[in-house]
Amino acid sequence: MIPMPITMELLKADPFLGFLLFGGLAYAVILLLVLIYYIFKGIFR
Amino acid sequence: MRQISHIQLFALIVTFEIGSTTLFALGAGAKRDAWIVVLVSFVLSFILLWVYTEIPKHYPKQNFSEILNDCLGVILAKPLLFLYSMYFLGQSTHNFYEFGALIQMTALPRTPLLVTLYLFIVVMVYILHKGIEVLGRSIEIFLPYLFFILLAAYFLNMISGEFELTNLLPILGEGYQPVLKEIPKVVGFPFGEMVVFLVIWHYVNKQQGIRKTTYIAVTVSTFSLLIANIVFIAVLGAELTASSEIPLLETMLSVHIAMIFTNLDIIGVFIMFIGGFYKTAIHFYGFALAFTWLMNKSNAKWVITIFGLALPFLSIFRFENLDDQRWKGMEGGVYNILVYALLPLIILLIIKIKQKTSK
Repeated sequence: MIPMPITMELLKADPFLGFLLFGGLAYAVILLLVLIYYIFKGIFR
Repeated sequence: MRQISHIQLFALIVTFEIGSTTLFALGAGAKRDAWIVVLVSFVLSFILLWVYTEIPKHYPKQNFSEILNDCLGVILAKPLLFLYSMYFLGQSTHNFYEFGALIQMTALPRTPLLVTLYLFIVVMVYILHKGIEVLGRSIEIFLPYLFFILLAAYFLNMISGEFELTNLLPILGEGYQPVLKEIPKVVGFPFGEMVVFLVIWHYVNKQQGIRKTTYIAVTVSTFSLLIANIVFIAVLGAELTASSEIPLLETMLSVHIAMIFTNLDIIGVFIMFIGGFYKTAIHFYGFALAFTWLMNKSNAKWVITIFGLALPFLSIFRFENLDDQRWKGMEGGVYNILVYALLPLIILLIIKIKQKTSK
């Protein structure tokens, strides 16, 4: 079990961290979608 | 094109990994089993390092921006490059503030922090202006001294009489849960921070041996971190190591040998100074390169100068004091590093699948 000590208090104190964290996570989702796209492209080629 | 040799790459990686980590007791949450955390995280980090060193194999001599443009397209590559540049800038403010504050605390208590930071940054801007070659050559000179001083520090601690290996017992006395809890943090910091080298690989003169050099360098630095952890716990005990602000300094101050070897905190300050300087420099150079590519320019000097001179203000603006910096770094910062350390894994998968489908 991974503890997640990222609290609202921390994100309010360091908005830059919040921006990086959510930006990174959002991009991880986008890259996963791109990956799925290429996998399907490979299958149905 | 400017290039660095494998020895310089080795020196950069070792200094980067040892950098700020000697100041912390890595995996301190696992108390006396912290060394096990480091060992397991090191083994896991080999997967990350394999990913980081696999990417340049597909795109030898191409920079990170060109790689992203090729595998994701310009529209997706630019925002990612921006995020990475901001992440590197964020990491450099962390390192920069931390070392400025520690130097102020230990060596220059009456000098304003801003002055200490500016003394740091002027030298850093000068070195980075000269390019990666000069950064590599300068660390090549300093690394033997750093090694000698680290080994001397560990050796003096071992013969000081305060060294009690029984402090490490019982092994896994509180079960494996505390160890498992700490592993993601240590995989992120310091091993995940190696992601910054993605913007540096293309400077290495012989691309074939990058993986071998990286593995050797990380193994050497982990060995040093492992000894540091064992020495901290053996000398200070698990509780004091976990609660101490700078365990290295506390450990060095406990050395009293024949009234000759005493007050050795200056050794700790030297280690902090070299490690901090190069760790900040590598992160800042990573930012400067990524930001320059983002702006479609080829010369990073203007970014180094403008943002370099602003870095002390950015650091002071972001962190109120050392406790604040530690809180932001250790609570959320390590997960932030983990996110950016894992993104290249998806990028590599995209590269592999794209190449397979295009055949």
